[in-house]
Amino acid sequence: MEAIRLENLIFKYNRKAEPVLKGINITVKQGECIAILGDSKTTLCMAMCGVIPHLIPGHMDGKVYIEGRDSATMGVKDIAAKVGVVLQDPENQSFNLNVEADVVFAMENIGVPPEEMENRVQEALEIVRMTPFRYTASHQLSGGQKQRVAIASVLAMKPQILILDEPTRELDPMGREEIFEVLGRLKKSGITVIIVENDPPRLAKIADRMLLIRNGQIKYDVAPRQFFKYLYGDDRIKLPQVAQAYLDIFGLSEQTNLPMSVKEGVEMYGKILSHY
Amino acid sequence: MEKSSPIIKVEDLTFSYRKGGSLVLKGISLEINQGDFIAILGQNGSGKSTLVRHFNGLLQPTSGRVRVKEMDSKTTPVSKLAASVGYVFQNPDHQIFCASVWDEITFGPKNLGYSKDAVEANGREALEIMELTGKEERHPHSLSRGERQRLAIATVLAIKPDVIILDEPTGGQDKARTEKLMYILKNLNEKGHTIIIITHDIELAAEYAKRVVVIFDGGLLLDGHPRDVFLEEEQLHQTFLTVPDIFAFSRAMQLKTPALSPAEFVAEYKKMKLA
Repeated sequence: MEAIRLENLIFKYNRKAEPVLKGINITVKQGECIAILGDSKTTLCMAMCGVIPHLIPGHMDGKVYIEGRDSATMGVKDIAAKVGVVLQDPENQSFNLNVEADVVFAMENIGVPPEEMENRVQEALEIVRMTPFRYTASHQLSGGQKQRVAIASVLAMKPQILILDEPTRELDPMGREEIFEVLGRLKKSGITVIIVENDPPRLAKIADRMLLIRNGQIKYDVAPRQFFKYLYGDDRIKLPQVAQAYLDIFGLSEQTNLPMSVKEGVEMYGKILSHY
Repeated sequence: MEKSSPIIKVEDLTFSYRKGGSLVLKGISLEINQGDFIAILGQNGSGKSTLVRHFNGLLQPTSGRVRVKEMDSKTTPVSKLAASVGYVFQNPDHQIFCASVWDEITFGPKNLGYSKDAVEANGREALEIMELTGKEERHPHSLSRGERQRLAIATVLAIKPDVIILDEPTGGQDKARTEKLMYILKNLNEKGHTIIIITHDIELAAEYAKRVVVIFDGGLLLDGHPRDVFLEEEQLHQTFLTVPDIFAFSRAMQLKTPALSPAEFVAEYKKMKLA
């Protein structure tokens, strides 16, 4: 089943401006994990979660379908119940005194019946491993913990689709590790994950497909291994180090089965060296 | 080469933000030499920023001592330290406040009493290095985020400090921008500036720094050449740092000298095959 489909999406922030999205076509299947890189990533996220066209002024052409329904005909609240959004800075998504209150607040906004809330709070905090912090004051949390609470409050709304816009930008290595671990677990649970980040090697570990947007258009929409083969030599996209070294040594060909991790590299070089 | 005295000498430094409060720095001793290119690694809250803010007198030791070019940071006016140690904040908007790029760039040197000619010459040179020439009259807030970040660095360059400290200079930037900035820093380092970057990017530290300092829980955990530091995997793990893939890969491949960058790996591999 398809989760989100964009059909020839064009968007400009005002009528006279150059469009930032120039005819985007993407189909995201349910349960897929999609990574988005390149320009106008945030604008694309906003279109996928209905903030465009509902809340941001601008000029949109084309269609966005969320689970088969045209987003322009849906209410913001309906969309919010299906599509959860996590932003760069968790501070912007926390307004309450403690962790529990933040998680409950999100549910209140979409009208979850009170008797259902307890279960959902427990479940959401469990997924992001924040159960022991349920009554902790928000300001006492680390960056990674705050971002995990932001994810929990979105999960409590039980969205089928989760969109994350640079969720680890403000975090340190430990916080980043925590978030990617949570994303890995979410992916297994069957939720559709769309993530925008600036760290291609990291994304390759969880994404089914990687999309690159250049000049308002989709340049590539392929599996990670193929993505790095296309982007070898590009000055803006960083390859996994093992992949970079491999291509620098052996060059690129159609048949290259590109190693991306240390483990894959060891296997691949083992085969090559055994030929000598 | 003659061994000169360290440019910054930290002796048994402890620090707490409140009197009697818990210690953020728990006894750090460190010598930084002219020409060092240091990457400081560690978790948020480990004390990295607190440590470097002692280098230009923004913070004063609770106990212990920090000396910059033999000057005790406690008894030396901050203005004097600022002429030797420049600090670039992570967020450029925390340090930009003038109405034009030129005012911004000349603010530091003017304030420190540099001659009119020096103010002019330093300003021009800093703008040129950071590729902002021609934007002198622009309002800083009309610049892009990347340009504002370059401006923040330029304002520090215009002072011509011996030591330049940059807090997370490459966060959120793509490969091309990161490489360009690191190239500029490398050039400044070759001209004799001491460079200290605070970063979360261990691959970046491996590729560019000549020395890596790891701070953990207010103390100095590791200090040395990146290759030596990365061999201490258990200690790194304690602070959630993992060595760069290419380093781990070179060890798995039993390269004699583990590589710090893909380019180093390629060179080593070719040597290995020839042998």
